[in-house]
Amino acid sequence: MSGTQADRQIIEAAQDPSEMTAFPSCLGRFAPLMNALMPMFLWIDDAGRIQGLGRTLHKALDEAEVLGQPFDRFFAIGRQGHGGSLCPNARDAEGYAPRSLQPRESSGLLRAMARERAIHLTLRARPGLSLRGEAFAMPEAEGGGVVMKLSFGIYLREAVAAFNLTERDFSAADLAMEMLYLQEAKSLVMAELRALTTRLETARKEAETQALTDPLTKLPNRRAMEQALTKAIAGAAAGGAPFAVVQIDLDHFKTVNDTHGHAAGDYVLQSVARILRDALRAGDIAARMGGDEFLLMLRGRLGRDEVRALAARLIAQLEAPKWYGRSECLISGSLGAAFSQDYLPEELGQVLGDVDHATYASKEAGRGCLRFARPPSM
Amino acid sequence: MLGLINRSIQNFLTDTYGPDLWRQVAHRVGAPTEGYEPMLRYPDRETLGLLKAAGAELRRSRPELLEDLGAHLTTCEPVRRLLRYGGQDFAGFLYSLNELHGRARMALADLDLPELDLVEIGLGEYRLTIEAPHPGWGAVMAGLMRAMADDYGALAVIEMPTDCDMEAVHIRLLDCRHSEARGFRLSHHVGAQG
Repeated sequence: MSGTQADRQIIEAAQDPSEMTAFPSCLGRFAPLMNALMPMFLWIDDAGRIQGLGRTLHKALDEAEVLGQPFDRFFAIGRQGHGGSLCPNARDAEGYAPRSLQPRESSGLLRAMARERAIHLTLRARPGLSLRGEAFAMPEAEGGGVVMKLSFGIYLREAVAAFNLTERDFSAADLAMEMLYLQEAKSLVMAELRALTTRLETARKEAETQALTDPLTKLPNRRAMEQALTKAIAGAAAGGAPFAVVQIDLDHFKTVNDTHGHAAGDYVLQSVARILRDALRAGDIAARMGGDEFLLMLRGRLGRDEVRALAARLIAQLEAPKWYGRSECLISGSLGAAFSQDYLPEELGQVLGDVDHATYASKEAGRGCLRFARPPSM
Repeated sequence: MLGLINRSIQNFLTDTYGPDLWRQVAHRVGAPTEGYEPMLRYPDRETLGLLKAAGAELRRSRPELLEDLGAHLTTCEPVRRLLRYGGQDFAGFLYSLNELHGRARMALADLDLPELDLVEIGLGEYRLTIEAPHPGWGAVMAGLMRAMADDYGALAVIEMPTDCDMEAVHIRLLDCRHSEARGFRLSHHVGAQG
């Protein structure tokens, strides 16, 4: 805000007779100035009665008739604690338990408050709003009592909303407007940063998915399977759940490619991916390891018979004719399998090599069949 | 320059001329297709390239385009609100421009707005001079001030003098309360809870 302009406005406002309060003593002489410089001041006499207050503080009391009224009708000493009770500032803890002021004792208490550096008051009508400020004892000759300069402190935004305050309600020297401006600007910047973080996180996840997915079949790729196997091997070595690995090398796939073209080959690979995906239980993983090689990781302690039954089902589905347009594509699969429980924890790294050997053994045995890996301990 | 500025240009072009024009401009300068990230930094030449490409696409001079950009900034409610923090009336707002650079830095240290200096050169007559690493901010400020004069309900003549070495805007404030000002309440904080 412009310095000279705003000052002029505030002095004009302060000189408005309707906003003046009739003070006795020296404060009375300075009332317009007090109001202009400290629209949140509060003057209490020795009997604990309100003798004067600034126009903004008056707004915070909902413009109630307060002059001559006991101070503790409107304010409680201390600040609103989290538990809903009033707690005193640490600095003025000496003997000032939060409590209601008795008129007789208020004088001494208020004067003691004036010796403290900071005071906290809570509005009785708005227990959620605390005021912070400092208090000064007035000399007896000037009417006595205590004069306080208050502010909304951290409750500024709530106060602005509750009392519909405007720029005019703050002195030009007050940083309240900057504080509100900053809060508003900060929340916009934060919103932008949150949006940016969300976009980056989405992009990161997409990139990660892409890096771990085979683009043709949408199955996890070799890297994803290796990550999953590393985890599963570490888990099994640490006494976790066992698992089985089944490798599938397609038979006659090269013939399909050579005879019917790559588009037919791609179609066959996608069909295989569908077959494998349909065979999975929750937690199992099927991956395309490259070319015409696929790998299944089956969680849990499976027996050879269960894997044999699964392999028979898969081979039957692989061998069922696949039609790419008018081209009949015939393939089969050679399978190799291994069980993590057949290995000692330190030998688990060998599983993949052994299952590859078993697959090769199936090919040697005439294709379209399953062979189990020979566990190292056997 | 902070992406916020490129993003403002992007929003201005999209809102005013439609997404197709923005895509053409973005294609010309090789801007990110999904648009600029307001909180990231981009090279200055990209911002200048954007303006050049938009001018060529629309066959409009740079000052014309920048004046419209300045006016468009005030149509974004959060920006309008932050500008209205400047003062109770348009005269107060004009003086607050002296602090715009500092205020912007206070809110977002990376946002390097130009240094502005407003002097009263006669009764109701002001001159705003602009110090910035790139020319063009004068036109942006002229457009922005015209829109803010409307916002405050003030009647003002705002022009860019040609006889000035520095970038400057000349303001003649004829009537501070010419028409009803648009609302601004402190408590209507954008994104405030309740």
